[in-house]
Amino acid sequence: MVKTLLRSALREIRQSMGRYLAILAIVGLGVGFFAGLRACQPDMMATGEKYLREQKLYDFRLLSTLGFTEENVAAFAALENVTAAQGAVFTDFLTEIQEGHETVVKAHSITSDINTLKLSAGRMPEAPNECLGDAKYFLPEDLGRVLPVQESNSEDTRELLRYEEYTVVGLAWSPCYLNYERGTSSLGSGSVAAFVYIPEEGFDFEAYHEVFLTLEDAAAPYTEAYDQWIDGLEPEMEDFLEVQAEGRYDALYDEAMEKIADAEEEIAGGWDDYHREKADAEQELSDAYQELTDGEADYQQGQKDYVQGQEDYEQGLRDYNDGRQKVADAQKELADAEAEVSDGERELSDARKELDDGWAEYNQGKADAERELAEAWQKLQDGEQEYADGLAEYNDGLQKLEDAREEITKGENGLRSGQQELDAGQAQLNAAWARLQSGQQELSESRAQLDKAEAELSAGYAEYQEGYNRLAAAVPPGMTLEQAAAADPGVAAALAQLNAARALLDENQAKLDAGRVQYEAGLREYESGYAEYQSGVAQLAQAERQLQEGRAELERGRKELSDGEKELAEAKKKLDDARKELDDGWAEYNQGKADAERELAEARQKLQDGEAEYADGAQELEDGRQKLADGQKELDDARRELRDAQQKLDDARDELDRAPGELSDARRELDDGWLEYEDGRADADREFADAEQELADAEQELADAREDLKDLKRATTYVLTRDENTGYACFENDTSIVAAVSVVFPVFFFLVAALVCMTTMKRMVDEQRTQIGVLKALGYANGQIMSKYLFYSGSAALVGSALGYVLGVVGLPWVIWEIYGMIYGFAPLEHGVLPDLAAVSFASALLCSMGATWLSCRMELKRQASDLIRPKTPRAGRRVFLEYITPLWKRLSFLHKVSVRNVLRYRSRLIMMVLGIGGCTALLCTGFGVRDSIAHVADDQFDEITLYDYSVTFQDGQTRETAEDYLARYGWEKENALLVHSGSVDVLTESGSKSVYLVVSSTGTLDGFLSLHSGEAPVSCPGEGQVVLNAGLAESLDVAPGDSVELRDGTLGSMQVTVSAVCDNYVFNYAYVSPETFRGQLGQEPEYNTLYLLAHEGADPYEEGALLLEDEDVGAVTVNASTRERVDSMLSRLDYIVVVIVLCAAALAFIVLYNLTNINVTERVREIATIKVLGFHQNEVASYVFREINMLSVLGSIAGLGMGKALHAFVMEQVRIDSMTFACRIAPLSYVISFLMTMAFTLVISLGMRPRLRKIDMAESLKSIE
Amino acid sequence: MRNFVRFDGVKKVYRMGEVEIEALRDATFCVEKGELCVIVGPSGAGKTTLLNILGGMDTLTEGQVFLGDEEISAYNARQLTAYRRHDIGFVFQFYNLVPNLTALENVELAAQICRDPLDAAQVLRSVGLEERLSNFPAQLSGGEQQRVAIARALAKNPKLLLCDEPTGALDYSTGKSILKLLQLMSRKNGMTVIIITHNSALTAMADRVIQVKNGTVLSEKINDRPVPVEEIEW
Repeated sequence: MVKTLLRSALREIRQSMGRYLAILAIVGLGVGFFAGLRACQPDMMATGEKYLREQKLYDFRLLSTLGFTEENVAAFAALENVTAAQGAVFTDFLTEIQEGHETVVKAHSITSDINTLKLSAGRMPEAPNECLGDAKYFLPEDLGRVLPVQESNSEDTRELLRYEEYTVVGLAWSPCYLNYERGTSSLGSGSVAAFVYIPEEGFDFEAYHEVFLTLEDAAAPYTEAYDQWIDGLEPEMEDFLEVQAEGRYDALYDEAMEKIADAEEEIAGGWDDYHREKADAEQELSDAYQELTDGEADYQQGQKDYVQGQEDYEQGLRDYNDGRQKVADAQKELADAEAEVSDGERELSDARKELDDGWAEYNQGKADAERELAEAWQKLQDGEQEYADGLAEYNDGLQKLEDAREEITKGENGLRSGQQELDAGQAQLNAAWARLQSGQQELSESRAQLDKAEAELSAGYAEYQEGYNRLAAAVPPGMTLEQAAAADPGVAAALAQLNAARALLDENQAKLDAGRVQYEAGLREYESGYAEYQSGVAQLAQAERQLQEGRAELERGRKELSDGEKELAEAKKKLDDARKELDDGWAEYNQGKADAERELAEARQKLQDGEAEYADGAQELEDGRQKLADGQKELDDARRELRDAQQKLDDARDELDRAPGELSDARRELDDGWLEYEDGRADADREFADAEQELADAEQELADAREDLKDLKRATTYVLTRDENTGYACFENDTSIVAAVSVVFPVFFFLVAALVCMTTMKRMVDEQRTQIGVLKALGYANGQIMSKYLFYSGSAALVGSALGYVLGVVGLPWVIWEIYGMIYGFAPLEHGVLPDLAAVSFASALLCSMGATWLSCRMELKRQASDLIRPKTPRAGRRVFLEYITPLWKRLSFLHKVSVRNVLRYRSRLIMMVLGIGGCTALLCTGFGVRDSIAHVADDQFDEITLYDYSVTFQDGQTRETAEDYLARYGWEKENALLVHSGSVDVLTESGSKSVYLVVSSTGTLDGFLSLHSGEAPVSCPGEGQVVLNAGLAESLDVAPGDSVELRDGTLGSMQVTVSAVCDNYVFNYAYVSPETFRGQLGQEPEYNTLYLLAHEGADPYEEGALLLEDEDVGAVTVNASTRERVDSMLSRLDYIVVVIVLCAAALAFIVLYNLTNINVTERVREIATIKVLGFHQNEVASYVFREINMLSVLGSIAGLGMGKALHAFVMEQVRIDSMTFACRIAPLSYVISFLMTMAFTLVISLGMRPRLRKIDMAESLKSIE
Repeated sequence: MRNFVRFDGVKKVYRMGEVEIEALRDATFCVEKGELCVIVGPSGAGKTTLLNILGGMDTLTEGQVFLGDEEISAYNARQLTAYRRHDIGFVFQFYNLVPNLTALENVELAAQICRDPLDAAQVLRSVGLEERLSNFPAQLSGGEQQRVAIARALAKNPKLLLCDEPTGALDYSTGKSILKLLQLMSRKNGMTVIIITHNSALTAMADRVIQVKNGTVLSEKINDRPVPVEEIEW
């Protein structure tokens, strides 16, 4: 690379550190995770190997029921290929570590050259009563602790351990115990808590219990070569062991025979002495016994007498009491009788009084009735008188009415004549009125004529005056008319005329005056006539009024008449009513009189009857009084008799009271005698028993010795290899779990790393477009330009991988080893050098990062320089498919719209996020899911499938009878036990073979002890020629119901059977066949060597288990509770792996989220500055930016749930442990938690990035586009 | 109202590491309501500092700044945000539209956060973009984008419209049409508009011209006869 470009790249790195670190971290994470997980198994194996090599773990462990002598050991040491052979002893014993609590400890003798111990604290034992403690159990504080050998240990154990207590002086790891497993024991709780190593001198033993061998040229453990080497030597070893054991048997036999002879002699002498002494003692005792028995008989008689007296007295007392009772009863009767007599007297006097009252009442009633009747009669007589008076009055009224009627008729006639006179007067008046009218007419006509004439006259006068005046005017002045007239004839004529007219006028005047007088006279006449007419009218009205009054009076008279008639009619009616009442009164009176007479007669009869009854009563009372006097006399006699009886009883009582004192004295004497006798007897018996016991013990010893000899079987021998050592075997299995998982997870991280690189580099290239253009324009080749970016990402990847590799390879195995340390932890982890792993890790990291970079740059570099120099046309806003769902789109606010558009805008970021976040969720799901799937294995197995609690394995096959004997011995009910054959067979199919447990039930059914089912559906027991396999086994062997498989037993041959069904089973693999199948195919009865037992309610399973193991026929007892605990603790280790997964998921989420947020923020600085200028608050700005991230997170997380399910299924497939089957399931809650945790990571990143947003300067918005 | 915007002895000192740079000193001027004011000066004269302070994007070292009765210079960060949100309309030289929002949405983006916004579509229509409502910024010409930016500022119904070199990124005739739009806004709607530019030709169209040089106000004069934009040449 060109120097300047290199410098530019370095500067670039400095400036965009966050981005660079993101690439570095994700690559580191991927590589670290990959390499770390990959390195786990090799490292752990290396550690194990080194440890085993250094501690010289045995290659063979030889056991013989007869033990080994020094000579035997030496013989083994001399064998070819054997580098060392050492004998060792071991025993379980009970000790007390916690106050008041017994603990089972396994004591081993220390071996020097084999199974060397690794001291972790303190020192090696120097004295024989010192020991080394189990470093896994004891703490450094326990150094100096004294472990007592408890009294409760068996004698054999106490003998074997030379001292009564051992002091812990050091702590050590033993290669024989690689894992936490310390084995089981027939003592105490049944499980061994810890081991202790005691120097050989600390044991008192005759023979070694076991011999350990190490071999020459042994290959590294856990390798194919080692297994072959051991397999090759095993038969040879078995043969040699057999020979050695044979020799041991012969020696032991001789020793026993010698012992028997000695014992027989001793016993014979002992019996003789015993019999002699016993006879003497017996005689003495029997004499004493006779004496006591006689005394006892006397005492019995006395006691009997006393009892009889007591009884007699009781009888007398009872009789006396009866007498007393009788007297009391009689007295009571007498009192009752007296009461009765006095009651009778009272009743009699009451009756007398009643009778007297009756008589008085009768007389009174009679008088009253007579008086009442007389009164009624009188009242009726008065009524008759009143009635007669009323009738007379009525007749008078009738007469008066008749008179009045006559008077009225007379009045009417008078009135009629008056009316006629009135009518005549009226006619006269009307005629006078007519005359008056015509007179008035005439008067008014004459008046009119008068007025006319007067008017004419005045006019004439006026005319005359005018003429005169005219004439006067014509007269010249100074001259009178007459002078004028004189002067002028004309005038004179005129004057004349005038005077003539005057004269006429005066004449007419006179006539008028005459007419006027006439008129006045006529008027006076008219007025007097009118006055007359008026008075006539008044008179007529007077007459008419009088007539009216007369009529009214008549009317009143008529009314009075009719009232009188009505009154009379009423009086008549009243009279009739009075008559009727009187008649009724008479009838009633007669009835009343008859009734009264009858009642009186009846009352009289009753009173006479009462008198008769009263006389009878008086007689009876007299009789009663006589009887009472007799009774009183009898009673007095009885009382006297009772007093005598009382005296007699008191005497008897005194006598009885004295008797018990005498009796108890006698008793005390007797008891003392007995006590003395018993003591003597007991002393004698004890002495005899002791003697007998001694003799019996001696006999028992003899018998035992004989028995021992009989039992002294040819030794059973075992050649055990490391594979039979639990720790050694488990270690390999456990380490392979990690290896299986390590394949999957890193792929994820690499994929995400590639995407992170890609988006980051793309962003960088985008930002530096112009720069690329300039470089291109300057003539740099594409490769040179790209080298800058390749350097950027490549260096990040390189540094990241280096860091990740180192941290991963060192850290992850360390973490896992620490976790495994709970089970192993015998040595610090050895880190192997793994060049292949390193190469693969680095190569994939570089490929991922640089490949991604190359892909991102390629497109840009293809463009022309001129094109690149111009600022990139901003990426056009694009509508996304969501916008076409208008109702939904409209509902979104702008800010949401921006986010949605952004989310869908950059595809690679979307994929990165979905993969990264999804990956995180998926990892979480897987982690939790692994737990969900595994955590319940023990519960499912031991609650649902394995229902029995103990499996007791016998040394030999049992029949039903022997099994029942055994059950009876240990108080077990038959119903709680099932006898089965349990053995190991290989299941062979085309795809391979597998060693499984074969179970054959003696009854053909397993109900109640093993529940065969598949899911919810029960699976029926196999029929003839059929087998039921567990599902996990069937799957791994690739067989299904209906397929045929071969079951091969090592010694007996093989069975061809058809798979009838598969059943659920989680721990170990099983094949179930029926006894018929077994018999039919192998030609012999199955050896029923195992009892399945159900525990008793509330019993401690370990204690019960230990008890069951006591029997000598029993080879082993498996306590399922213990198996369950072991399975649980083995699986609990996976919890820690879950923690590691969660941490990695968090790291993944953080890196991806940080990267995307970072890119988002830098890319949009300008936009963010602008919205800040627009006045968005901090929160609004943050949600504007982070909403997009949140959406992607939700999206990714949801996708991750699906991915998680798949990943989980894959992992569960890998984690298959040979002897276990897991249910593949994720609890719904795990999904929820995974989702929520992912969201929480997103939230944390958002919060962490907020300060970055706050720091963005608003002035950025003013800058020009680069 | 007199002295709607008032700068009173404003001083701004930037500290860059050890060095102190005095960007603005003793800047005193005022602008009245409804005026179109042009602040002119060469690059580096302190125009942008002045704009930042007036726009509530920066604080000052000394002096006082008032808008109406409010003292902007006394605001804290939160009050400044509210001030930008409600009182100021900002027109950037490079438009600064959100590329992922359409023209209408860009305007609504500003409108939805303030108290009393104008109708976004209406405002866009008033700047002559009725045809382009649903186009994304990348589909608009520079002039159109600047119109959207102006519409975005106006939609907030601000007290003050601040324009930073509004024609800086536009060609001659487009620039003119934008200036015309701004002048129209001031004349017709009585909007107080402050334009910051280095182009002294624009002073002719202003009611008030403030000349800035070397970090201080050189002169402040009132133009009695503002010229319509069409007649300005540069």
